[in-house]
Amino acid sequence: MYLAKVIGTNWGAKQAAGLEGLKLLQVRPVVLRASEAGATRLTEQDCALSDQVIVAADTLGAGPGEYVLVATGSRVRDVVYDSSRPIKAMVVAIVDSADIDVGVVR
Amino acid sequence: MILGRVVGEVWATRKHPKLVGYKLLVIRPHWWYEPSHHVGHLVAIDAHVDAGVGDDVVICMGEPPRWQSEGPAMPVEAAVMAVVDRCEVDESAFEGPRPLKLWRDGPRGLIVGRIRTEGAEVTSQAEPERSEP
Amino acid sequence: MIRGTVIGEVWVTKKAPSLDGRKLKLVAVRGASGAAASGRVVVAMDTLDAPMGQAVMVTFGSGARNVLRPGASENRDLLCDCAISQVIDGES
Repeated sequence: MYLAKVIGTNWGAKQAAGLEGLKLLQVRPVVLRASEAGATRLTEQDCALSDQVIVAADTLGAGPGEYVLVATGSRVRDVVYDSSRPIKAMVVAIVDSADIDVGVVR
Repeated sequence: MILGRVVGEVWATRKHPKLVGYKLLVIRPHWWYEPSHHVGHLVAIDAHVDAGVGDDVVICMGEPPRWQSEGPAMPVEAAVMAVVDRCEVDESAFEGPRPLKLWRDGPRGLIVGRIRTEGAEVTSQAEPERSEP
Repeated sequence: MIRGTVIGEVWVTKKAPSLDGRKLKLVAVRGASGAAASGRVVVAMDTLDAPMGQAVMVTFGSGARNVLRPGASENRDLLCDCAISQVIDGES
C-alpha cells in the first residue's frame, strides 16, 4: 500500500457495468524523500506529491484534501470487492494522522 | 523480501474492518525492488514484531501478508517480517569490472560488517550513528 | 525463478514464526551477461545454507513458500515471498 492525497473524483454515464455503485477518487501518491530543509518530521506543507494521478475505488467516503491508504492488485480487489469489478486500486483506510520522521529517511 | 527502514506510523479509524487492530508502518525501502509505483515508500502491516520508527526491517510482499489474521484475507500488500539486528555484505560485489550498483545511497546505516570473499581478510566497521530526531 | 549471487546475510531476533530456524541471505539478481544489471537485491530465505559468493536460483511467490513447507493449501499464511531453491553447481 502507499499513502496518497485525494484531489477529486470522476464519474460518467457510459461506463463498464462493474463500476456500478463505486465512488472513483483521483489521488496523487505521496512521494517520500529526505527533507532538504533539515526538518525531522514531515509536515503536510512539505509533503511532496507525485505528478501521477491514480484513480482508486472507494467505499469509505474519503473527500478531497484527505490522505488515504491505497492498496492495489486483483487479490486485494477480491478481498475488498469481488472479482467481477474492473478495478485495480482501492482505498483501504482514511488517514486520521501520520507521524513520519524524515530524519531517518536517507 | 526487501529491506527497509521504518520511518513512520499511520493511524486511521475509517478503514477496512480487516485492518482493525494492526499497526500500519511507513517504510522507506533501502534498495531497488522494482515497485509498481515510484513513491519512495510503502505502508506495511505489523502483525508479529512490533517494529518502531528507526528500526531496519525485512518486509514480505505479495500473498502471505493477506493471511496474517484469522478468517478472510486482509486487503494488504506488505507485512513486516523481522527487525534486523545486523547485516553483512560482500564488498567485492561492489567492485570489479561489473560492480553492483545500489539504488539511491544504499543501506549505509545498516551494514555493520563487510566480508571479502577473496582471501581471509575480514573487515568490519562500527555501526554509523543514526541521526537523532 | 531467477539466478543470482549470495552477497550477504541478515541476522534477526524479533521475527515472524516463518523465520524460526531459518537464515536470510541477500541475493544480487544476475542478468544475461552475468552482471548485476539492475542493481536489484532481494532478501531470500535460505534453507540450503548457500555460502557467500555462491550462484543460486531463487523462487518467488507461492513457490517460495513451497521451498519451506510444500503444500499450497496449508502454507499461505507462511510469511515468505522469496527463497533460495537451488545451489547452482553448473550452468551451460
